[in-house]
Amino acid sequence: MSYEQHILESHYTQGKPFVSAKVVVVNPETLRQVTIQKDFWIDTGFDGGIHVAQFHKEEITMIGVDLWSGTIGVAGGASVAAHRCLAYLQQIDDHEFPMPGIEAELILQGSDRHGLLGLDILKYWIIKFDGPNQFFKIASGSVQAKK
Amino acid sequence: MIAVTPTETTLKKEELTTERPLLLMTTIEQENHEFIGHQYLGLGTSIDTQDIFPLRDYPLQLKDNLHEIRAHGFPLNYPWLPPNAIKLLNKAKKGPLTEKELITLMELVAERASAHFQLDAGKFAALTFRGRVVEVSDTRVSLLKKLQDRRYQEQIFVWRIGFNAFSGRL
Repeated sequence: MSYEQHILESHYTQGKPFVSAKVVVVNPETLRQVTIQKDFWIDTGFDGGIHVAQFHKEEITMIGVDLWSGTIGVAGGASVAAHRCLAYLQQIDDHEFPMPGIEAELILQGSDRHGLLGLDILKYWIIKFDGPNQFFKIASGSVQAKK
Repeated sequence: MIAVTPTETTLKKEELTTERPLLLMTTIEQENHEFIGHQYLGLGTSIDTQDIFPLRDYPLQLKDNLHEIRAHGFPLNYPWLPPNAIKLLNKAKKGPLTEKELITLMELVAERASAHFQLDAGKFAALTFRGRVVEVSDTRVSLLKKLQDRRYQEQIFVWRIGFNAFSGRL
């Protein structure tokens, strides 16, 4: 048995499932925060959390948050350098998540204008893709064990 | 009458049962034997058998081994880094590394640290560029949460043990 709570339903944009989302990075010491609001592609081929372009690095370091070095695997199997920190996904479209939001890894790499929401975020939701009609639905929910 | 002569097997058996067993000891074992003898079997020495792990025939009393192990030349809590990594670390002191060099350094350090500290594949770890383990966690988010709550003097990078990227394309 399972239950679902509706979050959003939308049409594809340029053939891809995009959502508008609000991501927040907080400095835990000073509580200063940076908000990143942009379109994110729902990417089931990406096993990380949230990916944005590296130009956001400056905004984040301005509030005194340390970014950790590391690598990210890109299409083709290569590894490239990237920076990371902890972030909170607070909103997608009109749906707000309970504060402080969904905790996620935020990766800063590349220069794409849109961001990515990977499997580490998508694992919280039930998503149905209707390819022929270019339509998708997101719901939060859980599966309960059969008695 | 038939004269019965002991066969070779029976002779060997007799030798083994009647003679004092010959202990083949290496030089190190002999030294250990003498050392332990001096430590525990001296005249007037009473042995407390509590909390003693028997090692062969001799007691090994861990609580008495208080002498600190000191390694001169390199610290024990850092893995021994390969020459390529040392070269890159020295280069990093003089100026910034290229992206390729940085990735190579992280790969070398992570590989050596994983082996040295026997980190499990799939775990998420934060390491210093000299190979010291700062944090290990089961998930990306829990590792980043732990890191965010503390300040570190050394520069840190994050790594997924046994993988070439912390996260990415499947």
